[in-house]
Amino acid sequence: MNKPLQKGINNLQHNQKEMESATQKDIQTVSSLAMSRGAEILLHTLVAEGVATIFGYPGGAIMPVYDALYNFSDQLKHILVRHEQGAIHAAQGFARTTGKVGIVLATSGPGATNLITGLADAMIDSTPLICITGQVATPLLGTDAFQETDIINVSLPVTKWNAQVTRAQDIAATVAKAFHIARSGRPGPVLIDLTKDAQFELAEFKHSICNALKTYQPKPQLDTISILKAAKLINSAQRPYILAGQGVLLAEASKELIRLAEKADIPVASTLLGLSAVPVDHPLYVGYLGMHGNYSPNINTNTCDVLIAIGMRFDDRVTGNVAKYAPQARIIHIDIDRAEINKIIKAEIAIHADAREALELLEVYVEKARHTDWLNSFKLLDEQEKQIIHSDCHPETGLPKMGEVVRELAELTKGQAILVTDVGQHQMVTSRYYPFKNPRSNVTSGGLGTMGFALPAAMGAKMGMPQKQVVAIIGDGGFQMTLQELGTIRQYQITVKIIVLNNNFLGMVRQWQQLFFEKRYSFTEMDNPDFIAIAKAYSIPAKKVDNRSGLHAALQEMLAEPGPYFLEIVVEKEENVFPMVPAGAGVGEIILK
Amino acid sequence: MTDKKDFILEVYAENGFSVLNRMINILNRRRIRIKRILATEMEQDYTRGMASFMLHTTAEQLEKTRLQLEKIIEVERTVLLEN
Repeated sequence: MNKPLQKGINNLQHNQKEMESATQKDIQTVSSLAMSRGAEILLHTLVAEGVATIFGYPGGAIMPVYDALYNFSDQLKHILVRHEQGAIHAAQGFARTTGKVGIVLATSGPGATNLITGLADAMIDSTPLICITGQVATPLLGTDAFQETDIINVSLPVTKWNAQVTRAQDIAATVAKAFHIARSGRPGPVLIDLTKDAQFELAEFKHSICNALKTYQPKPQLDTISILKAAKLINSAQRPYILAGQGVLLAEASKELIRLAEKADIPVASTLLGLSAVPVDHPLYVGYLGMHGNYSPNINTNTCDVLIAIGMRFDDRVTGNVAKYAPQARIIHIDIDRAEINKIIKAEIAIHADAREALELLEVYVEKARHTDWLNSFKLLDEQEKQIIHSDCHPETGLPKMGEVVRELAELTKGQAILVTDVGQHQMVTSRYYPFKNPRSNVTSGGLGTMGFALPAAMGAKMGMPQKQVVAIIGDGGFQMTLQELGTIRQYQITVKIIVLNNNFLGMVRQWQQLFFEKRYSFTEMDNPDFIAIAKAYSIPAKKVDNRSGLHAALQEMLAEPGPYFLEIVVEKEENVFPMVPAGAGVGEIILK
Repeated sequence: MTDKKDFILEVYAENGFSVLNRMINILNRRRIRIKRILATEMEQDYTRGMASFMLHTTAEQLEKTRLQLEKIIEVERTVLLEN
């Protein structure tokens, strides 16, 4: 055996010993003296970690695991997707709606590389995943064997952690460590590459939950002094303003956030991924931030005196031109990831903490207050946006508009559905017009902006939350990137409702071409196939609507259908999404038309 | 004129598979010039290692990057030696 490999194995042994010693006090050990194959050890470990659903696609290097899976069908439900990208997006949808770790199985080589987009998406959107890839047998590593790829190094920048396992005896400990890393601190995706010989090898199954690692401190110690300073600053503020990011949802801190906001009468705006942390109909909720967000939350970012950013990372789609971002404000930034603090926007008070812990303590020290004039300023600005809202949601002529579809859907579902969106105009419109009522009910690709995300992610969301109505809203471009997953939906009768808003354009790119590239529509118009025929080929009930009068009834029919349903809605071809912060502009320069 | 200068950044870590690659990826992605690398495993304990980088960058960029390096699961700590 070569020296680096031996070192890797030794290190795994070291990690296992360390985990065992670190978790003695609250250890939960499951073990069997009988020898099992590595593949079975993997599945026993997944069961011991509480996994019930796996998304995957078999292939040569992962065959021992799939063979073992045959005997686990009463404990592990495996969803056979049609492409590995579908598996990882489905696992993302599952994880985002449930808060659990999404599990993906794939083979080596192309199976593994097909996961990369999903890994990058999960990494930037802090989604807990464990991807298990098969790998060629240890002696073949580095020989360019069939379907060998160095997935450890390929996935390195898009994983929170990854590991290659070459011995069966290391599998359980590595998987336990992966769960701890994926779900703790700022969650993220983990990849475990399992050589074929390790899957075949016999070893004793011994599994312990991993709760601690020597070099990894996922939960920071809350600094009370910083909380006191923040409370003092908030208490002195005339125009305090909360920006809520996904960190609020990940920390399950919605109630704590609302209590703080209500006590001190602070308006709350949301980032794209923070949507649903606060119910949209809450009186202190003022809207959605960012490039295509609402008018008043963007404008008032540059008029507040104290800005309290919670579990968000000042993404460029939120800040616009950083030099023009909230120059007047004194900034408090709460985040569990220390590297996010002062990364883009300098914070006067930095609170490196879990959002819920920080909010719980902050609420104690924040005084009751009233900011009536400040809250009214949002309402005055909202009046200016209402013309757009009215035009988007209540058009009287032409083809249906995206906002109108979302409004109808909102009325029919009363904001109780889980909405899964793809990327583009429909995503921005849905984010602005759907009245999210419950935490974790907005699933979308935020940081990476992955077209093709929504259809498989909706499958995963429905698998995770079967009691909820799950509606995927997708553009005609994004739908065609992963439409093969209709096969998965058909096979497992996954009750997702699919709405394709068809404008025969890559709408957002076309909008930018219109506004900033002199209307040179360079390769954005699409000659689409017959989507209804495609859906029907998969035995999914389908309907096409191209007029306003049939819209309401079609949505009703879709929601009433007991199984999956496909609804194509032909929308205005050259509709633009406003408000908009143009590239290079500050949030205060948001335009209404 | 630029406010870039040389820094020595020592990163102490578990000697795991691909940890050094993770460190270099973080530096490369931020276009930080690596003037020298010395990586070694600990003589008394080969499961631990240290990488010493001479980096040419600004103090602000270095601090942001140091925090990213500390996010690597295997990294125990970083030590910054200016000039």
